[in-house]
Amino acid sequence: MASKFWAADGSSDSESDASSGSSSGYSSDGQRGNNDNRLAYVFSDSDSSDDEGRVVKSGKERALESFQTHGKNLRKHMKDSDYWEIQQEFDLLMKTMIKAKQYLAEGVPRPLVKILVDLEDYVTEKLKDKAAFKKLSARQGRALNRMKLTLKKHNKAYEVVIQAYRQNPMVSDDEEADDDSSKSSGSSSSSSSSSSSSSSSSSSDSSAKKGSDKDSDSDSDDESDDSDVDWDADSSSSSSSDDEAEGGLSQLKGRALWLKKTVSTKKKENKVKSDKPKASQDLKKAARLAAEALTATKSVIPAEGLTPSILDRKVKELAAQRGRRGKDNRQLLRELEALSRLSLKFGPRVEVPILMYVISAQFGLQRTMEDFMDTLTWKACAGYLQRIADVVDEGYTLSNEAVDESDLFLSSGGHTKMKAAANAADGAMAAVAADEKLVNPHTGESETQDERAERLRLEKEKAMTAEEKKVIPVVGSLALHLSRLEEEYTKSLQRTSHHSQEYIARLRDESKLVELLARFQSYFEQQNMPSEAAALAQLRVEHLYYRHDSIAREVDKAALFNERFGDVAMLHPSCHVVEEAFTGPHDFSKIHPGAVQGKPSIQSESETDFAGLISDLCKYVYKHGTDQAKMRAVICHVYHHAIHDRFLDARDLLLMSHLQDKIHDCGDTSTMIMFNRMMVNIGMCAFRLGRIYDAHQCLADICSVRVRELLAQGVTMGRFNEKSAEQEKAEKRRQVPYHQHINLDLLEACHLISAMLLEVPNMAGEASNRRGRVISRTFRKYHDQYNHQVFTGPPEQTRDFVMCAAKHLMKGEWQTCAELVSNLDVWQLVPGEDAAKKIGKMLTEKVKLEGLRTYLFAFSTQYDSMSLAQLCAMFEMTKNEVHSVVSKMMINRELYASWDQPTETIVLQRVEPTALQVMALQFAEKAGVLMETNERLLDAQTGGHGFKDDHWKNGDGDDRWQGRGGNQRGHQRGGRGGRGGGNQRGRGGGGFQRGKDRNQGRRTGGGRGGGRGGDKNRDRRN
Amino acid sequence: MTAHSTESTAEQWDLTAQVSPYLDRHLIFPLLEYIIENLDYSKDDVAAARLELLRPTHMVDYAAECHKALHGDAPAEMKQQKEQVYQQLETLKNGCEPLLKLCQDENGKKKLVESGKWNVAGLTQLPETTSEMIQTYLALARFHFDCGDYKSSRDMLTHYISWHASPPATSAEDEEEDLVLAGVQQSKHQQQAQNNPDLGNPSMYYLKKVDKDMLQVLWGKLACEILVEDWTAARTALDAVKTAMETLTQMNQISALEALQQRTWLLHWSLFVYWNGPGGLEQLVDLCMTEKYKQAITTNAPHLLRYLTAAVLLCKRRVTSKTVEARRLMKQLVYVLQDCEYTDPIVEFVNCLCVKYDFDAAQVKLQECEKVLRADFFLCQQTAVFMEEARIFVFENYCRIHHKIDLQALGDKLAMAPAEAERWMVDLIRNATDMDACLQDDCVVMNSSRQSIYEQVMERTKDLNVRSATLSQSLNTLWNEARKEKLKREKAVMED
Repeated sequence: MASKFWAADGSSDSESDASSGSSSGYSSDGQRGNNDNRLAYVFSDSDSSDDEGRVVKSGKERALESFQTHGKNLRKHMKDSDYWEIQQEFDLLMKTMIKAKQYLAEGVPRPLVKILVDLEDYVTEKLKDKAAFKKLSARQGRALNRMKLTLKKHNKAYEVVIQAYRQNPMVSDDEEADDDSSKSSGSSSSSSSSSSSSSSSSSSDSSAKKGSDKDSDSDSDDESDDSDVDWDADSSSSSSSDDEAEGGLSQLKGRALWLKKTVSTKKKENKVKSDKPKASQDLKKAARLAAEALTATKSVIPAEGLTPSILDRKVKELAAQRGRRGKDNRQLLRELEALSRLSLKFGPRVEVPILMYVISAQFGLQRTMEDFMDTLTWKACAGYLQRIADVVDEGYTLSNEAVDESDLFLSSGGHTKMKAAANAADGAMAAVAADEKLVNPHTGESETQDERAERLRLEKEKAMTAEEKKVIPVVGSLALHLSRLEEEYTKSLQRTSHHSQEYIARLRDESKLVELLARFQSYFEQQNMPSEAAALAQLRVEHLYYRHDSIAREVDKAALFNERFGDVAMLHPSCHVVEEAFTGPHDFSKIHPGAVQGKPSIQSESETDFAGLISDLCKYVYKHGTDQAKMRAVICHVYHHAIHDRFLDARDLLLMSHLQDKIHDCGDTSTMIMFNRMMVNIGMCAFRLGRIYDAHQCLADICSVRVRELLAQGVTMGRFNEKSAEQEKAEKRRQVPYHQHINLDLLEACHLISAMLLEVPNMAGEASNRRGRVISRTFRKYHDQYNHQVFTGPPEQTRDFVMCAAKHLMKGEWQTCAELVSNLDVWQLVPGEDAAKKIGKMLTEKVKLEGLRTYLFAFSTQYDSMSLAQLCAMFEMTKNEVHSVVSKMMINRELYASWDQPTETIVLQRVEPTALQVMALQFAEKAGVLMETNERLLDAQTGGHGFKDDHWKNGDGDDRWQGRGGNQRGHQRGGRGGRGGGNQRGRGGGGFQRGKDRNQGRRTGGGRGGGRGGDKNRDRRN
Repeated sequence: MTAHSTESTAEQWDLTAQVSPYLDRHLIFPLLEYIIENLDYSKDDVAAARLELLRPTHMVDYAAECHKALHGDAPAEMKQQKEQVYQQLETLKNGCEPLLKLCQDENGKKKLVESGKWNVAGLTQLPETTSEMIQTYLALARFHFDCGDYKSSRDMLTHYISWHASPPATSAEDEEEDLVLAGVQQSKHQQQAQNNPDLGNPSMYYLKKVDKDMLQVLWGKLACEILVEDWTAARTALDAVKTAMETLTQMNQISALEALQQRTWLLHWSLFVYWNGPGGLEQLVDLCMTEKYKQAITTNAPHLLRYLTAAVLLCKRRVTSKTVEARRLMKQLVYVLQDCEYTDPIVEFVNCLCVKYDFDAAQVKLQECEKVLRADFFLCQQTAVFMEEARIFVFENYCRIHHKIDLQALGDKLAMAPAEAERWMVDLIRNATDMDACLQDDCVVMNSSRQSIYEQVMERTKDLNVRSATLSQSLNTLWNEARKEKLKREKAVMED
């Protein structure tokens, strides 16, 4: 009927469209064509375009259709420059879009995006032309203006898609060209699929089309036999176009982005390395295999006469169906897996590409960010990747490049025309003509499409050198697959309850994952792809850095054990009893047969040097990684140093990398969390080593507020802030898996004890006329709380213990204090031999020392002189120690006293000021306070200084994700900075600031507050 | 050259191995000489090391001599090498013959200087000289240096530098360089005028611009000056290198890492300069306490802390008239020390005294120090002074926290006989201004230096003045800004 007309129309369209596409403007000639395209495009079943009325349409179809009409009208009006009409039409379109929201959520059809983009461009262009604009009638002008506003608002929702479209408009144009011909194929009934194949070959991005390319024999039996039986009954051309639509859709889903790549990164032809002649037993085997494999599904493919090409075509067909409506992803995956099993016999050249499809199909099972891959699938996926790694180890390389299409076709004379037809867009007719000659140029016999494909493949293979044969072209990127795998692993850990056995079992997979990453890392290194290798190295580091060596060894051993012998619970109980294998004759009356082999054990071959490994990996990342990866690598490196008590290394690395300055701008919450974890660990490391001051500096910031949130170890419900569901979800996503958690009790103990050791003498000193300076607000807060309790029971929590200890320390009862803090349960959690004991010892020493200081501060006023021996006895310290402590206090003017050397006593000097002097002192003090108040006032006005820094008290939103590398104190002193002698007051503000940092901190302290404010704003914006 | 670890502390604390990687080959020779004489190393080993060092240089005669001493006779290849060296020298000399002549011809030079042609452009205009010749000239200078003829090398470099410089009288100097160098340059100006009146060219460091090559030249110059042992000139050269380096870093011509490396080098070279010649110590302390150089010490060369510590101890009383400043200096030093994990008797000594207040341990360390000092190439000359200063330092600290000290104990602390200690004490009390002490029946009694209330009040209100000034100033700016803003707004309104 109208077939001729359609065909002709289509061909002319494709031409004009191609030109319009290339000139990137929009051409009015193509207008009608465009609309028709859309028609053909949307109704995958092209026949229905002829008789719309009769077909029962789904809601989606209806929506799409109405988009079409609106789009069509819009284009018409755009051509006429009738703004008012455009506006009316656009309003209608908007309404429809709102109605069709549910379908749009799945994805925005590309044509719709195109019209939106065009419209936007059109409007801006028109608005630019001021002169023309002035000439417009009032109504038109107003309409144009309003269009601009509404468009802007409206398009915001589709920003992502539009962006993607703008970046890659050509694809869509290609598509449209495609659609034209596919439409024509639909209507020119006899040669439909062949023409479609010819034209689709011109586009270079749809693998699905490649599939259709090869099965373009329209009356090929297997198409009707098997593929159409239980799969979607659409013709291949429609599947291709629909797949493209899916490509568009998928851009909406964050994760699906990856998938899109896998689909559209195309490969041309899969070549089997060596084509074995199909011996009959092979066939039987294949048949059996297939039968076994496909019990779940219906026969995907006939096992007889199976060639790599057929397999290949099938795979592509399947891949093309991915994400289609009504297509179950699981089903698809099963089918693909079956195919992969079939492909085993054709060697890695066939197998690997199919495996890649399988893997991406596996990842395709997760629809949303919340979904995670179940363990079985994950393991299977890891298994496939392992298999690929094996193949790769055999010396194969995977290439992601597309073979130039023209080469393929030029190699066989019969296809040159097809290519010409497609490329020059001569129209479907020419293509049809080309297709008629489907004969073997060698034998002159006619052949089916499959046969031809196979023949071509063989020819091509013959032409390849051995080296080329080692290169397997695949779809998708291995590095991406691996990082996806890693992500899924983390996600599954996040979702699994950490109390369950399942979680523990899952942990074993980590070593598998790490090994996999290592294998591919070395592969990429060999392939000279350092950026991919660095990415994998970084992932590896992230799975290694948090483990203490002792734990790491055990865990790896356990994983190995599990791999070799299975679950411990599943072993025969008798074999646990014995230690070694029996060597002598087996007397089974005495020995249980299960115990003959002895207790299964893993010989630890060589102790892995984890520190070296980490540092090697990190260095690799520093060299080749992205900035983000580098930063993370540094963090991991420092962290690893810190948990192994290499404090100075950790500190130097931290300072040299300027991490503390950079972390605020990194913009990535998970990196900031890592940073926080790292800081906390450095703090604990310093604590273990007895560097109380450093420890407190590192811990104070993070431990003072919302520790859980800052370390991403569980969600706290704040009283004041109501998080939106979105925020909550995001927070859940960035939770650190349980086994990587830092024990919060231990952390609190470290923090509070170090605060106690610093603050208690400070508080005692405050009492004796010196102006106080708060070292730890947190400690003071808890201290006040503890004091205000009406009844104080025996301590239960760690915090209570510390508070109780502090109380005793203040009274000078250092023994009780030392006992309380050094016998805390949490010290058992510190890895390393005798760690708890060591910490206890260190704490006792520190408590003694601070006890002495506190005592002197608090009670020295009551004495005229004190004897050294007495002090030594009181605090069980040697004379030297006491002498050193007291001397230091004297020098620092904390204690107004001096030694009387012959008698070894401390002579305290105290002058009671007269009333006038007291008043003078008070006056001076008041003047100072006044000054300070004035300064604060002015600071508040200018906002230059850090006094408003207290914003964290009213806890707002998300802005505490900044690493807060310890500048709170830096602020205070920054604010007051510049006053004489500021440098006498202890060192630096932040964590540790050596050399350069120290001064800089002071200098820039003033400006910091402002900077922080800025941070806050930025965070809000985010 | 590597230290064979022996029991003797002198060798154990020998720093030659750590220092030498940062020195020029030629600078190491004096160190080795010193080691041979003063330390208990196997002489042959040191000689072998020296020979190894000599090999790449052109000092064939010296090498042959060493070889002879070590192995009995000089090998033939050395003779061959000697011939080659002479040949090369000849070619180089021929390559820049006219320039050499020109440099020797005082009159011609003077003329050129007066006509403003004493620079690269001017020279290339001359008929007999070309720009290649100037490069050859530089190569020759380098060659002379390699041959050990430091003096001629220095003179040649001086000429070379002067061609690239523009004297202050004729052209506007590079401003930033001028700013940094201003003080130094003026004194330099005079010195040079006195030293080499015949040259009449005090502006040799008035370089218009520096690049990496010029930096090399300056390094060469510094090496020459050090080896010629002209310490004043060396100090100028050192400053020139330092300035050039900072300029280059500012212009981003050398990376941060490179700059760090170069700074470390400079610190090491400066040891030669500052430990010799008067007044060097203060400058050494200043240099080391500069933020960037401190960084270089802590990251690259913690062993330099020994020299820094010694320098601080030695000059602290001289530099600082006030005790407060001396204490601040000490405090700074302690911070630096705490940042590094370097130990050494001298550092330990300070640590004991200023951090642990363990006077007995300090005493032990002080004795060790003496040994170390004697064995150290740079410090050996200052040993006596150091010991004296250290004693005073100990005593000062001791007095600060003591009310009454037994002379006997004091003698022990200072490693002196009681009578000697008493004499020493009396001298000290007499000379000291800020010590209020007296001797009472075998005891030293300090009068308390407790801050009086008056002082306390003064202390507390001391900074109010400054702070109010700052306050009013910032208030002023704030007000001005507000006014400007207002004006702007008004203007905007008017325009509308």
